[in-house]
Order: sequence, then structure tokens, then C-alpha cells
Amino acid sequence: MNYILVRTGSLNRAVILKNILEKYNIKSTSMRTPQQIKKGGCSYCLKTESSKLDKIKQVCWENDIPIKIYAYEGGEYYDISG
Amino acid sequence: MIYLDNAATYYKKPLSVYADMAYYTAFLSANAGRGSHSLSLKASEKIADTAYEIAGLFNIKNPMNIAFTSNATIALNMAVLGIGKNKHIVTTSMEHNSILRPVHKLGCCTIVKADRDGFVNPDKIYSAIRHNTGLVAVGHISNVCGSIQDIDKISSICHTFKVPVLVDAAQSAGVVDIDVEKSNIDMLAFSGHKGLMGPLGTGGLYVKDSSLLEPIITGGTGSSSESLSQPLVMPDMFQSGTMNTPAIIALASGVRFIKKHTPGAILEHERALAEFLIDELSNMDKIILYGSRDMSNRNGTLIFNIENMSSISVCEELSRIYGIITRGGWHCAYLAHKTIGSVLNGGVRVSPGFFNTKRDIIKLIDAISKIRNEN
Repeated sequence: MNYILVRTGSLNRAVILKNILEKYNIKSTSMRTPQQIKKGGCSYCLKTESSKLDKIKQVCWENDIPIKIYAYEGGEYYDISG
Repeated sequence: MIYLDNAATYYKKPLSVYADMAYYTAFLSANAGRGSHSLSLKASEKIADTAYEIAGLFNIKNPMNIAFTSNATIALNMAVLGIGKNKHIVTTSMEHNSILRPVHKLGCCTIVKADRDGFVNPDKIYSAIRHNTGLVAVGHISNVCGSIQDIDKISSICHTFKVPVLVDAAQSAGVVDIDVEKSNIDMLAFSGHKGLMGPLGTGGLYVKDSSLLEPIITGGTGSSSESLSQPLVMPDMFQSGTMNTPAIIALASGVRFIKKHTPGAILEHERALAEFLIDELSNMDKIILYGSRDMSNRNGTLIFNIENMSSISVCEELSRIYGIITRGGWHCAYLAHKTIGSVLNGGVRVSPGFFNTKRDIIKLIDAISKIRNEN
């Protein structure tokens, strides 16, 4: 199943962003960042539906939140932060 | 007991603050942001709720730009010392030592003198800014005499020179409307336990652009643990170490209470009590009042002395004999006392809060009158 991951770094940042996205009716779940897209050490991200990509980019842009976004497709992660 | 030292800390809090503090101490004293177990996640989510509430109160676009600290002093130190050496800082004579001491430590500063009522002329800030000025640090409301500075104008001047402005909102958060966007505030330091009515040991720092600062405290953040360098993203860069989870959660209840009653209404209540007290004290012999009599640009904090009595003796008598809590001395703001003319003796500070009533002030007036007559 395809989805996107919004990498936030810390869990604190992840839950704040989750909170913000909820105000825009975007549901997400916080999780540890998969090994393939983290630099090592502790890192967290939000997992959500691929269809929400544009809306997430818009919300983060409007709220001055720098993020990294990855698409999960065919077992691989692709940086689609743009 | 009648408590009139709300400028030091709000003693009475909304009941929901006590309830949250007790509940979350018992059931959610987990380490927020550390690990992905359910308690850590829940603690992180509740702290995020508090950040969201505070962001709403101050019109902060991104709640991530709020770092929680244990008080306003830590937040101010992070902002001032984080600017770093080799930069000139402009501040004012009305500041608390929580600004003046870190500024003095860096060594290169101009202290703009306020007038005898405790007001800073923004034009003097304009004149004090140099080519190498890296920060203007200003207290929003004086903790000594309650004067409210013209933050909008000061901020506008600073941005003319592209100099960031740090506002010390220790006395103003929750008491006056603060809009960081409208006022173009780069950094806002606030205490959680005063006007925001949260528990002791809470405060925070809003930073619009974190690239302005270097973190002065480093350590575990629950993120980027592979790196020996402090993460330079908000709020992690200023939130090293275990946070005071129950207190930060309970702070949200204080903020919700303020939003419900509105800072404007709280200010009006405190002002009305102060105005009544000032009017009465003005008609009493041997009473020296300091600061502005114009209530439109001040909050409820006021300061006075009784002739030939030390301010500390007056406070001790008020407390011991009458059970009235006020604060004498210099209030960690010696330069402010020097500015308003009370440096020899300090002063008796009365700072009514939202939970005080006119009856409290009438009892205070009666006690002051008796102390004055007996000495």
C-alpha cells in the first residue's frame, strides 16, 4: 500500500505537526522513521495518505514549517519534498 | 490571607490547573518525546496541546516555534546569550535582572533610560541602535511600576534597522493582548506561572527565526541522537533534558481560562483595583507613590513607600499583623527603581490579580493607614 511519510525529526515536532494537520482534517499517525530514510539515531515521522500531499505542503508552507516528505511506492522511499 | 504579590507569581490558579497538575503527576509523569511507548507519546501529545493553546493566545503561526522552559529567566537567557558575543545589545533601565544580567555578561550594550514614570521613549531606542546592534531587548510591562511600553513602535524601529526584537512578557502574558504577527515580535519570553496562571516551573520562549540564536544549553532532545551537535530546529534546540510534563499540561488549562475571560477583561479588573488603591493612597499623608497615575498605559502593579519606614518593614508588618502579602525591596530591578526615584528604599509593591476583590484592597488601605499612624 502506498503512503507518504513526513519526517519531522523529534517526536515532539511530530505530535505538534499532527495536531496542526488535524485542524485541516488530515489524519496521520506518528511513528519511528524507517531505517532507509533516517540518518541514524532517534527520528520520528508522520504517516498519512498519499492523496494529502498537496494539502500538507500547503499547510506547512502557510505555517512556516520546514519538512521532508517521502513517498512509499513499490517498497521504496522517494524524497518528494520538492 | 490576602495575596497581592501576583507580579511574583499567581498564587491562586483556576481549579482546572490544580486538577490537571494532580492528575497528570499521578498518571502521566512520562518523559515526553523520548521513546515511542504509549506514555511518552501521550505526554508529547499533551505538551503539543499546550503549545497549540499558547500559539493561539499570542497568534503564533507555528507552535513548533515555542520552546518550553522552567521560567521566563531561562527563556530570556537563551535569547540574550544565544545572540552571542561581538554584538551590541540595546535594552532599557526598566528591565528586570533576568535581562540586564545576561546582557551585562556579554559586555557590549546600551541601556536606554526611561522617564520617571517608567516609560521608554521609542525614539531613544532609535538613537541607541548602532551598525553592530544584534538585539533590542525590552520588557513589555515593568515588574516594578506596571508601565506598559509601546512594543509596536519599538518593534517597528528595530525592523527599520533589521534588528531583531526580544520582548520580555513575564508581566504581560495573559494580562494584555499580545499578537506576535501584528507587533512583529521576533522573540517572546514568557512565564507560565504568572499571568498565564499555570503551575510554578513553567515558562517559554517563542522564536520566529531560530537561525538568530545559538543554543546555550545542549543535551538530549530525543532526536538526531547520532549527532554530537545540538539539533538546530525548534523546539528541540531549546528543549534539552526532561520536561516538566504535568506542569506544562496544566499550563494549558491556565491559558484556556484566560482565553475564556480574555486578557482585556483581566487587565481591566486589575487596573480598577489599582486605580482605587492609588486614589485612596493619594489622599493619605506620609505616602509616596511612584509611577504614572494615568491608568490607560499601565497594568495593576503599583509601588509606594511610607515616609521614614523601610519598604521591607512595611511588607513584614502587612504580612505578620494583617495577613496581607505584598513585596518590598528592589524587585530584582535596581535600575528601574533608580529610574522612578525609589532607589534609596526600594518600594512596597502591590500587584492585584484576577482573583482579588475590592474588599481585599479596602483591607489593605486600612492596614497601611494603621501602620502609617503607628510609625
